[in-house]
Amino acid sequence: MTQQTPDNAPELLKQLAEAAGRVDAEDLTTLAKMHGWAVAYGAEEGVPEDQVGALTRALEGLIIGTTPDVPAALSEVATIITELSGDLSTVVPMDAPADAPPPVDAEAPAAAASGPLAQLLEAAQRVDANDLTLLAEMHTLCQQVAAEAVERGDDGVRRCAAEFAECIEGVILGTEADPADALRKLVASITDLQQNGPGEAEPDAVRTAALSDDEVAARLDEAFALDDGADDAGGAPEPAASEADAAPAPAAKPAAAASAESAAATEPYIPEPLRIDAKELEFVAAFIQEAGEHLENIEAALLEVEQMPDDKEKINELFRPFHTIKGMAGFLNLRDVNCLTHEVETLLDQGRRGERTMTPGCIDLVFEVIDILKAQIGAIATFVAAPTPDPIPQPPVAAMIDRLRGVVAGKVDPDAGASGKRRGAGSPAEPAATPAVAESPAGGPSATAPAPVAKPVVTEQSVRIDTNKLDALVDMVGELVIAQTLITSSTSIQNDPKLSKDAGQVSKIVRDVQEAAMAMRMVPIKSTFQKMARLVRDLSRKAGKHVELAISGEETELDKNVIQQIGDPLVHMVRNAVDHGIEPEDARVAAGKRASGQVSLNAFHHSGNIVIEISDDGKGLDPEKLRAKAIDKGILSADEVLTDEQAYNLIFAAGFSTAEQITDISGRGVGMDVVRRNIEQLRGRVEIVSEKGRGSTFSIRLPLTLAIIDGMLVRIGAERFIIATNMIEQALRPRAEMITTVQNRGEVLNVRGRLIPLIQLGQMFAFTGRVAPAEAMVVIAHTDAGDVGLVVDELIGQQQVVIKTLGEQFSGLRGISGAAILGDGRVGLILDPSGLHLAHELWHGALVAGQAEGTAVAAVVEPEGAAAPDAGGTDEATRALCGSTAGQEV
Amino acid sequence: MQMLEQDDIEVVADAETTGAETASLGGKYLTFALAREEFGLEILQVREIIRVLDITRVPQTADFLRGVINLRGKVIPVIDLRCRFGLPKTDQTDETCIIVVDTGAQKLTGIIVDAVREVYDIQEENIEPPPEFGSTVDSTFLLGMGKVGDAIKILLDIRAVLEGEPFVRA
Repeated sequence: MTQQTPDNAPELLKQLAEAAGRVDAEDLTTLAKMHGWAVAYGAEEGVPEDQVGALTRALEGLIIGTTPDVPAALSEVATIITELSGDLSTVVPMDAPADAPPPVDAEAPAAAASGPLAQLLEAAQRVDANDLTLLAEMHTLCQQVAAEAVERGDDGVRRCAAEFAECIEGVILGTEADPADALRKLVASITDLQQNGPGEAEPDAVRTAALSDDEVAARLDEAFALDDGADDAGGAPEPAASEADAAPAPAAKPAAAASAESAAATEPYIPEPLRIDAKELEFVAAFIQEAGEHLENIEAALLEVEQMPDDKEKINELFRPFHTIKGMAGFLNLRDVNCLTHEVETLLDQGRRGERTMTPGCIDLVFEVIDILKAQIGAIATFVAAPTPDPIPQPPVAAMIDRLRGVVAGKVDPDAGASGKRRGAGSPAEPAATPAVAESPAGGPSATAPAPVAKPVVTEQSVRIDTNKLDALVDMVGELVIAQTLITSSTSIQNDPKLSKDAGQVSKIVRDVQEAAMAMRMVPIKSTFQKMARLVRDLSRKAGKHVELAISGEETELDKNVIQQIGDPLVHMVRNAVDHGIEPEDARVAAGKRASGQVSLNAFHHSGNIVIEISDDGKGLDPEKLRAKAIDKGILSADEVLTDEQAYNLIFAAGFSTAEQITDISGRGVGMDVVRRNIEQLRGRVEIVSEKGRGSTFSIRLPLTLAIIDGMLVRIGAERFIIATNMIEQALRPRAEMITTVQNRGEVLNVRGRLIPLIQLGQMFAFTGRVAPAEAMVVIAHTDAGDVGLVVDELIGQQQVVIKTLGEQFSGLRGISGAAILGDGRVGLILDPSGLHLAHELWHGALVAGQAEGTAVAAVVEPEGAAAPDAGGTDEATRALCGSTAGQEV
Repeated sequence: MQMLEQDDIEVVADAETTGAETASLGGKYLTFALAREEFGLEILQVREIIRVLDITRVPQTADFLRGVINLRGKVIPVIDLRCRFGLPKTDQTDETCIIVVDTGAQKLTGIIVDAVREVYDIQEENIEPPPEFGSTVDSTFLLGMGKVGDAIKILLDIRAVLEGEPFVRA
């Protein structure tokens, strides 16, 4: 029946492929030709007889008309031909739709019945035991086969598929004693299943080389002899054969569910205790680190998907890191993590193939999964830090896994129920798809719905370095800098022109080395900002507002230590912005603003500092209200006059909060003072610019490196000290009339109505006696408990100094936070105003108590207005201090 | 100031000072003078010897803590050993210097001594246990009494000396 029969195998295949692409069930001529080619091909050397046989049979069925499911048969034909062609790229790749494209026939629902099993076979033939990715895909295919079998009521096939799945699981999890062998047997079993399946309803339809049920059963037994974990599918599956199904087979009827959802094991997930071998700790530690990074990327990607749920490429970006985590977890036998990621991966796989729309319910589900994974990894991290022989306590995942399986199978609707809490007043249900489009932002881009410009992905080469090594290097470079300064400044070097030139060259190189070393510690602020995106999303939902987060300058780099410590303050300020700054929707609309509020984070370098701005377009700060509150809380006296800026700074006072309602997010008044303290510990500053009704901007200014501070050098007695300039509000020589003495509180300075306690540092340190403030300098500095005035002998000047720690033995020192190497190489101690304040309270209290008891401390406290500092009074002062320690035992 | 032999200085500079307990007390000791007595320190714990530099006083610390100094970029505390042992103060001379000791884990401390003498190799059999009483210095600070010729060197447990009292006054 065929006219031209090409001679050789490749040609035959080519013809077959080309014909398969255009043939339909009515075209008997072409079908006949194909049959001939197939037979001829089968006669060639070295061709896989099984597949050719299947091809031939399928064609025969189509020609004779005995095929009940024509589209499926056509699809099978196409598939086999493709496989035979050996061109892997045309073999149905895993992320293409599960349905091998039927040549014609628009009615055919997606999944071809032979599709999954054929793919499974194909995959099984090329997989090896280490290819977790492919093994996982095969596992999914088994589930599809099983699902289809369930649809048909074909229990035998289902059980076989379940067996296959078990076997594959065993290989993945490493419980198979001999994975390679198991895989070979798997291939054999699948092949049997495929061959001996009735593509036709009639048992005596065209079929060759059929194995009897018993033989099949025996083969399967053999294949799974190594697998002990069989639960439902048992050792020897007895195909509960109905006549129509002489042997288990892929059904002719395509899966009804177009999306080819498969319920995995229908049994609920049963977690097992997790133990980690001591040998594996190192790998697990690496896993924790990498998984953490992947989860960050996942969150960022998920937020993008939320904005653009139809972008399959974005869903794919979401899929990949989950896939990686799954593989790693599988390798390390972290079963819960592995299974959970597997389920969510299946869900996302459906999404990226277009089989499922990523509804808000789905997205929320994935967020929940992210949280569970974080908790799991956290639990493992805790264990790794302090390993015990006990199993690791793990957060419950069974419920989520079952739920995910249900969603994937189409049995559970992810959007049902639980959505109530998320539909806040602003009803963000709609805007998910139309954020920045509908409400064109007045100014500034919205980074949450970026213009769909493809960002070129640059893969960088990088090396992981232990941070200790990095720190050690940086320290050594610091010493190198000092050493080479000593050399270059030595006179004998300077007098010799050649040496001097060489020394200059060394200097330059050392400076470059220092910059390079410092640069190694620099990390972009991007991931910190990205975490804020998730925070804003959650917060805005909780508060019932719709708030967008815009970020810019995320590539700006900071010292890694600074990044770690800036996180909490940023979180707090972002919370404040969402909670207090942005008004509820109706208030905003009434004020003529956009219904959704915007919080923006911006980072950039400016004159040697790094600046981080948190802005909102909310209601801004109200100086009057702040004043009123401060007076109410006793922080301010009623007649004090404040500029707007000073009023804004009131929010940093401890215990201050103007929130009418304390929500669980913020408003307890313990926030901003801690925030400012944290920032000051980083040698930074916070500034506020605000406009009532329009919004506020908080600017955090940080030095580029923690090791150097900008300091004000002061002299107390014969010693020099440094006060960090970011803590200094102002320095002045007070006029005598500004100073008063308050009963039991010592001297106080009156600055435009504010009463600032004075601390006689020289006296407290026992370096000098009391100094008359009017003849000295007072430096007003911030502390936790308000401002204090530090009395010093002289202001020497500003200097940038390198900070050195004093060491553990000095940790009990109050008021001294470290040491600095001054320009001339000598050591200057760094003063900490808060610590000084505390020290002063204790010291002064004891002093007063001592006076009251009449002990001889009079030598220390000289009468008001007495002149010169008593440098020689040291010993007496010391004894007095020692004497007064009696009152200090608290 | 007595000059140490170049070899000794190099040994000191290169040695991994661990301050570990050595089972045997025999070994090399650096001796120094303090208030008419001669003391000895295990050579492995001696990092270097420097002149008395500008010492920055630290407020609210014990009397025996003279202050801190800048040792090539590192800020280390300096102890007045006379004060620590309760001996009377004396004026500084040309021979006064600071011995920098390493008590382990990079913990460096300077001690002020009147003068540095020599390094002696003192064998175990020449070391006697510290007397219960009557010695210049509290016996908890002593490793033993070492005999060198006719002279006795008081061998110090420098760790005990430095860690016995807190630096910071409450």
